[in-house]
Amino acid sequence: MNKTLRWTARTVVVTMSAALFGAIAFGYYTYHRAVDNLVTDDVIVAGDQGVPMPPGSPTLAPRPAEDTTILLVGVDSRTDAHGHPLSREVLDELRAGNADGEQNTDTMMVVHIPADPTKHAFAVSLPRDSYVDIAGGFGTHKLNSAYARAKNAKLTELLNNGVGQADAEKQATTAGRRNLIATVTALTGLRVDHYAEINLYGFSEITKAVGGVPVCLNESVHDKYSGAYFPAGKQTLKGVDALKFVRQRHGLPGGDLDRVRRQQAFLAGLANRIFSAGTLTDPGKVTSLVDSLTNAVVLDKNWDLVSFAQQLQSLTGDRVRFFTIPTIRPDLPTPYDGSAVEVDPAQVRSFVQELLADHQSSTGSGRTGKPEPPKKGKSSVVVQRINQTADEHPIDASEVPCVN
Amino acid sequence: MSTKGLPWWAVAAGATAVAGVGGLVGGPYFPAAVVAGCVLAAIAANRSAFFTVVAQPPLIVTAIAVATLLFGQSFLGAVAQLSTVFPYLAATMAAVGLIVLVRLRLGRNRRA
Repeated sequence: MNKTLRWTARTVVVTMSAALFGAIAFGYYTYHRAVDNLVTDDVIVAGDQGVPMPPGSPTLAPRPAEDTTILLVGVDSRTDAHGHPLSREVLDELRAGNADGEQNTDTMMVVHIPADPTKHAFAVSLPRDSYVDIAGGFGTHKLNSAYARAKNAKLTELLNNGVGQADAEKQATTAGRRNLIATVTALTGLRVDHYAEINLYGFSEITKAVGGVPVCLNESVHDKYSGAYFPAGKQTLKGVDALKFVRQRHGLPGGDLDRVRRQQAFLAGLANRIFSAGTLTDPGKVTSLVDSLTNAVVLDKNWDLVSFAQQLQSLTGDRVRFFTIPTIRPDLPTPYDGSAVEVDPAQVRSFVQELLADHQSSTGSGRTGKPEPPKKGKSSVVVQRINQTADEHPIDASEVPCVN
Repeated sequence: MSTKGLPWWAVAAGATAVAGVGGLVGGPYFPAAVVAGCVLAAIAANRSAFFTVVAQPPLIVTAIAVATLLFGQSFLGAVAQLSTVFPYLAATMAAVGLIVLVRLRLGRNRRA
């Protein structure tokens, strides 16, 4: 009897031990896949930040308490993160045009995560058409051109100096990213600690890897530009459908500002999906998630996928709130760039300062400012009060918010 | 049966304590402490505790990684911690396996 019991106990222990050993081996394999295949770029200019954690070192000690500011960028790149061009089939599926040398950053979001876990994190979207001063002496243009302008200028310069095409392309891309970071820093007054860039195709692959992201629409939409045909109400989107959801801007009451809210809602939903119990405990899903992330994202070189994911995790739950920078006119006529979104940099900086100062209290003032509805043909400048956001209700990651 | 050496529960408690201290200090001390704790246990164990010696390393590192969650470590941090320790874990398993084989061989020779 005693012997049987002992034998059973030993069998259980051996089985557990072997299973854990196997799981840890799988973790190690996956971790190295994630670290080795990740594309990084030296975009955070030295002297700009604290001591980087050595990547890949096992750490149990809590990380030094420091606020972190991340710039999240979505690009409509026709290549994957490794620079390999996407196939025609994939491009057609994405409804992306031919590669025309343009590389606009159509989604830009600054995420601020305070070191103090009792404080709220915030994410501030920067509308792509914001008419701002572009760093590097390029003058005032739409924010989404900061990257491409610097990249193209550097590329021409390097090619004229006889640098090889591939090398020049790489260095020019770094210059483009640095210029975007400099522009955003000048606009918001926030020092950017980390940079994460994601491309279209990778984005759709990530949504497939997590099995779709729940979203909710106030109204049904039919937009032939983006191919977005969705019913009203809750639904789960993945792949190309998810892309259509975050790219649609025609036919929405608030145009690009509504699209920004969609992106915020989608990011919150995606973060929730990644960290939901079903994803990280399923080896198959973890593998495809790691593969899609390494194909999709470019991080700054002092960062790794695990730290990135840990920060992303803070976007789940109700600790984070999403905002959009205050904007003035959505249809500012410009000499060279068509119709742009008017912003006042001083106003943007005070808005960000206010968020930094009072984001610990969720009932702080200025959270429910009514947006200035887009007034067509109105010529007088309507300046929103500084403590008003462009959002009717800040999106909160704890639920699936319904958006336009 | 020989009475020399630690019984199975002391083997498990001792190795866990050594590895746990390393886990609390953090950094490279964790894998080092895992190797040290488990190898010392293999040397100090009573022959009846050899089963514990061989089976315990994966259980100990997992238990400590889980315990760090209580000290404010994030889930992902704990998983990364556990994953990066794998080479040291594998080396530990090989080392304790070898020690146990040698001790079994020596014991047989002595009895013979």
